[in-house]
Amino acid sequence: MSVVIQFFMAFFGALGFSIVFNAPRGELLVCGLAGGAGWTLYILLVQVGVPSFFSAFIATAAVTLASRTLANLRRMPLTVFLVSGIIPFVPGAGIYYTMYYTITGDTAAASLKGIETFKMAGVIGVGIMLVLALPGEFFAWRK
Amino acid sequence: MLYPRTNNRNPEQVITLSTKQVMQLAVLAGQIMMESGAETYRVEDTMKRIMNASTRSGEPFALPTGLFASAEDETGQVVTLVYRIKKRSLHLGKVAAVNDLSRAYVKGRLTLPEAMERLAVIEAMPRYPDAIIMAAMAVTSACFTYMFGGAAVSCAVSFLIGGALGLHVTFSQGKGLADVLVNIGGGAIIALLTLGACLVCAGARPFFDKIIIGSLMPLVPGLKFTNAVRDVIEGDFLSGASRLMDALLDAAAIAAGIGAVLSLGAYWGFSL
Repeated sequence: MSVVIQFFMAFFGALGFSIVFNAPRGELLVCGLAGGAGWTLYILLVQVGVPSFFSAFIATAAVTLASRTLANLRRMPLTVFLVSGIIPFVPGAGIYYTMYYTITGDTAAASLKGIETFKMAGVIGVGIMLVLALPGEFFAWRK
Repeated sequence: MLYPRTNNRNPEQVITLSTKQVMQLAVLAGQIMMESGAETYRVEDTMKRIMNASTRSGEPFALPTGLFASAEDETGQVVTLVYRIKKRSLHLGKVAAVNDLSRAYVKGRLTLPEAMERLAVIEAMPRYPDAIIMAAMAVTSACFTYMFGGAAVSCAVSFLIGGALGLHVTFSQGKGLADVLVNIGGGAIIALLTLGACLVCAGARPFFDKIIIGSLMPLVPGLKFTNAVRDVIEGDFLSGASRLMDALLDAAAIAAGIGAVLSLGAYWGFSL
């Protein structure tokens, strides 16, 4: 049940985000779906016991794969779906905690959180890169 | 030598285009895409397709800060256009529209004057109404607060903060405020309202950090980061590096806005 709620939260979160970036009206629901599906996969993997960074890596790679297929299917720039799909993984929490420990003077905790933030950004980056590096012919089946 | 181009809908009518006109079309298309947040590869690809459809040897070059295009004209002279990109406002709808238009143009479904006209329409394409953007930010804030572990009360607080943030962002972007200032101001508003909410409503207090994190999510540079990664993978390292800087600056600005207010709050005794 909680997974279903998480799905809908990520769905509406990603949908709202795609409105902020003015995604085309016809693609908004698909954008929400990309965000919801990616986050749900992440939650499920974490529940199964996969380490959170590795779960995020698999989820971003899956989102990128889905986005490439969708971009081909709906003849849209890939960015439209990719951005909404990966937004739940962008380390907003890392940014906040790094800043919080910096101003409270806890330098050790601040650098720990800072490194975690960059690690998360790197994980997302590699997840996207891995799938984008696949040759375009895999996705060019629709002429 | 002129390069004839047939109009598919009317095969008898052959229109000859000057190299300069074609390049102006390519640069305008590239300009709209780059300003709206397309990745460098797509901008260059679109420009190149448009130029190759009717010029002899053209080569575009795009950076997040400027566009260059150069081609030989009918007499063998080299025509070069440079366009400096200064303003930037993320609008994926425009990117998609220019993308469709360039496909139609290259396939010959549009003539050059028609394409120019449609580009002007795309450039003036409105954003979603301010009220809808505000609502979207409110919903996004509330949803992310829940996803990061906030309870119902904190989601309600985030919803209101997100709305206020939407008001701030639409208003300051309408006034043409620089991104850094919008982000610092946004961070400050988030922190200020969260402090206020936690003082008024004790139920929100344990979720202080979740409220701030959820509310700052609509501001995080997700699109800039994604584009940076995509530029790097396409080999546009210069664009990738500059977009990564842009994304880091955004993140730092948000953190600075929140940090400044929280430090002041702690100084005056409102520590949480």
